[in-house]
Amino acid sequence: MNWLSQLSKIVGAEHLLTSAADLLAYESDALSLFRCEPVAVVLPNNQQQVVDCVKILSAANVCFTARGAGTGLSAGALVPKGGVIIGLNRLNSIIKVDAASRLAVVEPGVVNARVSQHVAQYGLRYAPDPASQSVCTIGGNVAENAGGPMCFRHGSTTNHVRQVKVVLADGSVETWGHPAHGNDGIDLRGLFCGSEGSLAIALEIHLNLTPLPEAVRTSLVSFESIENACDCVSAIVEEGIEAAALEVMDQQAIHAVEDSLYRSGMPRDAGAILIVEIEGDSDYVKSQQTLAEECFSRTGALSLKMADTPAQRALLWKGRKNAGGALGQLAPDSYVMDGVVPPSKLSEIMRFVDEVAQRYELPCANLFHAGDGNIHPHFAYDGGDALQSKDVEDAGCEILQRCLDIGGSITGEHGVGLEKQHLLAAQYGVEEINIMLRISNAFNPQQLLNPNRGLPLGGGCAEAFHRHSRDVSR
Amino acid sequence: MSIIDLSRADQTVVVDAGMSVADLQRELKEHALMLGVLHDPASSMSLSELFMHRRHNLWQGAYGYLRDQALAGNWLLADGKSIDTGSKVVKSVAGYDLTRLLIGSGMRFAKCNTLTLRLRPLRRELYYYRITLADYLTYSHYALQPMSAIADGPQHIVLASHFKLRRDYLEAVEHEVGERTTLDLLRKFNDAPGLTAMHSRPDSPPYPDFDWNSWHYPSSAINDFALPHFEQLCLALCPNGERFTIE
Repeated sequence: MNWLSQLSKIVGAEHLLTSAADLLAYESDALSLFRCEPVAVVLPNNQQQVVDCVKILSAANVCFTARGAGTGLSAGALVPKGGVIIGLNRLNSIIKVDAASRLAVVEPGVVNARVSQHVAQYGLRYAPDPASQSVCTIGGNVAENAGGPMCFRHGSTTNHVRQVKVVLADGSVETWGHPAHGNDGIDLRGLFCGSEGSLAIALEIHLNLTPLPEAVRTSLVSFESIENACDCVSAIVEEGIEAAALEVMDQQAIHAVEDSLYRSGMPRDAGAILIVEIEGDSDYVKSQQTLAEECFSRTGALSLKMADTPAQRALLWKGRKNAGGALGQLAPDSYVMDGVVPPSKLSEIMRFVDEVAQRYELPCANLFHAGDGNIHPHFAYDGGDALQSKDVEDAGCEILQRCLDIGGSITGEHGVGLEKQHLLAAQYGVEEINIMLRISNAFNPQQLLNPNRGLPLGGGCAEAFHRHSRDVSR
Repeated sequence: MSIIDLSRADQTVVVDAGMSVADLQRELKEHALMLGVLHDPASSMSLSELFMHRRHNLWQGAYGYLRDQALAGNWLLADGKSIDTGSKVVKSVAGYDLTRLLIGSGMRFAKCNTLTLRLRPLRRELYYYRITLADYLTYSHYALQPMSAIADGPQHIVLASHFKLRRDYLEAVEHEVGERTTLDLLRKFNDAPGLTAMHSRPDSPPYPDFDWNSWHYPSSAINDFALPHFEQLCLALCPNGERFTIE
């Protein structure tokens, strides 16, 4: 019996996808710059089936990658030619909630937003809130160490994972972290978070839950320019206001939203808007809001819209949360970048992004987690145009190099994936990268599990993936 | 041993790891900033000792684990090489998180030269409470449930003692002055026996009789020799097998 037959026997023939039509959706994640069709997609529905599939693939020397909802933005969940994708969407149980300990134990295929919906009955929530939270899965969030608007105050995924049960590339199962303390001693749990599925595959994740705040105040402030909005962010941070979220959108992003079905009444004439959310007890929110409004005035705010009810709050967030979808409608393809700068350098990097976009003649919109200095320029382009695709990638490289030059990072929450492997050496030295490669080889000695993902590719592997070459004829 | 680079605008600091936590907090206070780690102001414990060997942050409820405070570091490996991990920005997922791996490792993998730390706005005055309870069941009823519900829901309430709890009393709860939640807190414990409240400030030794040592208990890293991947990680850092001698 060959390994495909063995996989079929484990999960059932209907959960082993091999036809071209079925595989099409798995040839890329949400970053369509990179594509490679897997030879098969296997969809186990329990932890033992995942372990069994891993053992079969490992024994057959077939490379494999775990995948959640495929919302990743760095081409992290693709396999080289001949590889298999293990889809974890069917492992979608919320196994346990211990409200007193603020703990939820979930399987990797659970959708992010579902955790918060489920634990709201206990007055709790799961804080990390990537823009794709209505579809992205916790397993993918852990692999990428996903962020989101609320991470300014609450931290990224790694701050909210206490323990993980994982299967390694050879099929052995281990537990890392601690259900109560999270990261005592040597922190394999922390090493695993953000390792882009290259060290192990999550089977079960213990999540830290956060109490729902007593009060929330959301403000949408408009400015004449993006520089003014960035100045306001700096003023708020310097004032010591611990906002839960500080989100900026430029005029191009505002227009994209207002021209789409996600329109939420954002001011079309504004050069930029800033969404500020403050949470806590009522008196705290009131006092911090007063300070924030002084910052708005000092930095030239044009208008202020505030939400006092959950419905109003949802409306203010609607445009921001759906901006990615709105921008995706502007062109056949969209390249969502992810870089980080110190918040005090936001104005500088925004000027540079504008300069680069103009030089390459690429339409560009900006929406970003300003409190963290985490920028997300969106380039709209046609992947069928190889030259334009290359321009997009070159423009992205210039912007990320500038992020590094001013003290930042090449990625804040999307991960390195295939997209930024060649840039990692610009952020770290040879010694640091060699250590990462040796760690990867220690856990994944045959490089069968998401080979070299997030790290510089080994010789010859790069050619396994298509770049700048969307096949528009298909 | 001093601050190398402080950015008030970005709320980050690069500091010699040998600097004492107390000295750092004192200097940061002048800039209306602080490290989100509650620490005995009278102690001379260095940042290196705290971040490499200790594991408990009394302000964990509000600011997270010790590891969550460290963004980057410069490290000396046992083979004499120096490496830089992490990034100076508060959010970075570039490559493996070597900073988290090295923090709390008890210097088995590397010695810490400098740390880049995330800072927080300085807290103003604090209230301190000691809530004395008759027995464990009373604690469970009065303390655990309400404390669990309020510990870090409101912005600044921090549950100081959570796991390492004496059987007969809850050690401390802090709260900023002037917020209504202080009164709510007292109300929740209204019928608990033996409640006392004290007022304190963060710039003086604030907690009479507080057993700091029992709280900053040493890291369990010593047990990590038994960790399945310990040897592999040592070799990943120093492939020729060099090791620091651990006393």
